[in-house]
Amino acid sequence: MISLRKIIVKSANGKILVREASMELEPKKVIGVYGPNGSGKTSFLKAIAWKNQNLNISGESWIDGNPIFLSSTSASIKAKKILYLGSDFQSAFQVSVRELMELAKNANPDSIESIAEIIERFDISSLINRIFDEMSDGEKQRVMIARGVLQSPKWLILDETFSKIDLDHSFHLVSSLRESIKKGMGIIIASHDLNLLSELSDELWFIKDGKITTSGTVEQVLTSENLNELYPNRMVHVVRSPDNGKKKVIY
Amino acid sequence: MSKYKTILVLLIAVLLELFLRLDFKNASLILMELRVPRLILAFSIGSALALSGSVMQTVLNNPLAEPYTLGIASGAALGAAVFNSFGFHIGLFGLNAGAVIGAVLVLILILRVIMKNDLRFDSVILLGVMISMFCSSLLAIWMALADPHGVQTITFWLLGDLSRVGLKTAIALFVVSISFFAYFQMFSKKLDGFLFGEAMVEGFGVSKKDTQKIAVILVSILVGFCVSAAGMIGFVGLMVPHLVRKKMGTSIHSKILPYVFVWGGIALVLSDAVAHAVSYPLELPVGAITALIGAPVFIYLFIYRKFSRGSET
Repeated sequence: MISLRKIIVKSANGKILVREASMELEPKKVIGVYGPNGSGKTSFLKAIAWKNQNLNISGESWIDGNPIFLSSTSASIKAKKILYLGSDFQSAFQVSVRELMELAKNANPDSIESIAEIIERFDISSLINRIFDEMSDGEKQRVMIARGVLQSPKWLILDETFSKIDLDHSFHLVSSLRESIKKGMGIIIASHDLNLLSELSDELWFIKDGKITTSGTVEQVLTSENLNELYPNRMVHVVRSPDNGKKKVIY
Repeated sequence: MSKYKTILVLLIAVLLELFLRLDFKNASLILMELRVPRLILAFSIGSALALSGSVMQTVLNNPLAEPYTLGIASGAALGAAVFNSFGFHIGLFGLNAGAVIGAVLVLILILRVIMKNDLRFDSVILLGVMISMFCSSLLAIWMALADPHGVQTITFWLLGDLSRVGLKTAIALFVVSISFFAYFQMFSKKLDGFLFGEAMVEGFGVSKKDTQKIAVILVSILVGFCVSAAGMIGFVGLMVPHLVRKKMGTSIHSKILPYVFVWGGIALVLSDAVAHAVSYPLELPVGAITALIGAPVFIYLFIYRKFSRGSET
C-alpha cells in the first residue's frame, strides 16, 4: 500500500507541477496514468517514488509503513520498495544485459524472481548477451522492464517505458506484467497509448494541470466526455474491442 | 585479457625497467639504489592513477574523466609545491599532505559546479582543463618567485619524474596503492550502480551522493600522494581503464579493477623504461612519454565515444 500525504511538486524555479495530492494506492493492481504533455504525469510519478533530482517535492510518501520521503531511508531499502523507470536508457560503459540483470538481482536479494525465469517470461534470451548501449531504444525498454520485474519491488513505476516498443512485444509484455501482479506487485504506468492502458490497467487516472481530474476503473473513466475535457478541440470516439470487449479509442 | 598474458607482460616490463641500459660494472649498486625503488614507485603510481581514473569515470559518469583531465593532479602539484617551499613537511614517508589538500580542493570545486549546473561531458572536461592550466600557471609563478632553483623544479611537477624518491617512499606508496585497491574492490558493488547513468543509481539501491563523496575523497588522497612523490603524470588514468573495459568486454568493477590496477602499473613501468633508456644517459620526462601515447587515445575517445545522455546525441 502506498500512502501519499499532501504531495506538492514544484520545479527548481518554483513553478507548481503537482497540486496538493493525498491518496492511498492498493497493491496487486495496474494503475494507468494518462494526460497531455506537461500535465504533470512525470512529476507525479517521481513524487511517489521520491526522486527529487531537479524537483522540489513536499509532503510524505509511505510504502508499507516505510517512509520513502525521508532522506535517512537508505537507498537499498527504497530499491526494494519502489522502482521508477523512465523511457530513456543509456550507458556510457561497456556492460551486458546479463550483467544488468545481475545488478538488479543484487539490488534486491529477497526478490522472488530468478534471472532464468525472467529471461523466459519476457522473451529476451536473444538480447541477454548484448552490450546494453548497442541495442535499439525499444530493446533497451524491454530489457529495463524485465529488469524492473526481476528486482521485484513492491511497486514498479513505468513512466513511458513502453514508448518505443512494437505492438507485438507490447502485448507480450502486458501478459508478462499480469503475472507479476498476481505475485503481489503494484504497477503504475504512464503512457500516451490509451489503447495499451485500457488493455493493461485496472484503474485509470486522467491528469491535467498537475491534478488528477478523473479516476476510477477503465470502464468508468474512458468515456468520450472525459476525453473531451482533456482535449476540448478534438473529437475522440470510444468503441469496444471486438476481441475482448475492452474500451478502445479511435480518432 | 587473460591472467597469464598479464603476468607475462608484467614480467617483461619489470625486466626492461631493471636491466635496460644497465651499467653492469656497478650493477648491484645501481639496481638496489636506483632501479628497484624506481620500479616499485612506477608500478605503485601507475596502478594508483589507473584506479583513480577508473573510479572517477564511473562516479562522474564520464569516460573522459581522470585525475589529469579534471585538474586534480595540478591542484595536488600546486598544494605540494606551496607546502614544500614553506618548509611544511607534514605527511608520511615523504608523501606530502599539501598535495592531498590541493587535490581535495579542486575536486570539491568541480563537483560543486557539476551538481549546480548539470554540466555535460565536454563541459566538465573543459572546466577541468582550465582548472589544470590555472593551477599549473600559479605553480610556475610560485616556483619562479619562491625558489632560486624553482624553474628546474617546475619541469618535475608538470611532467613527472620517478627518480626523486627513495626506497622507503616507494614502498609506502605501494602499500597505499594496494590498500586503496583492496578498498575499492570491496566498494565495487556500489560503483556498479553508476553504470546505467546517474538517474538509475538509486534504483540499484546505491546512494548516489554518499558513494560519490567517498570516492572523491579517496581519489583525492590517492592522487595527492602520487603527485607529491612523482609530479604530474597524465593519461595513464584515462587509457588503462578504457583499454581494460574494451578488452574484457565488461565494466563490472569486481572484474575489471584487478586488471586496471596491474595494467596501470605495467603502463607506467614500461613508459619509465622508455623514458630512461631512449637517450641514455639523458632522461626524458616520463609524463611526456605517457602524454605522447595518451593524448591520441584521448582524441580517439573524444571523437568515437558514445555519450550516455540523450542531449548529447
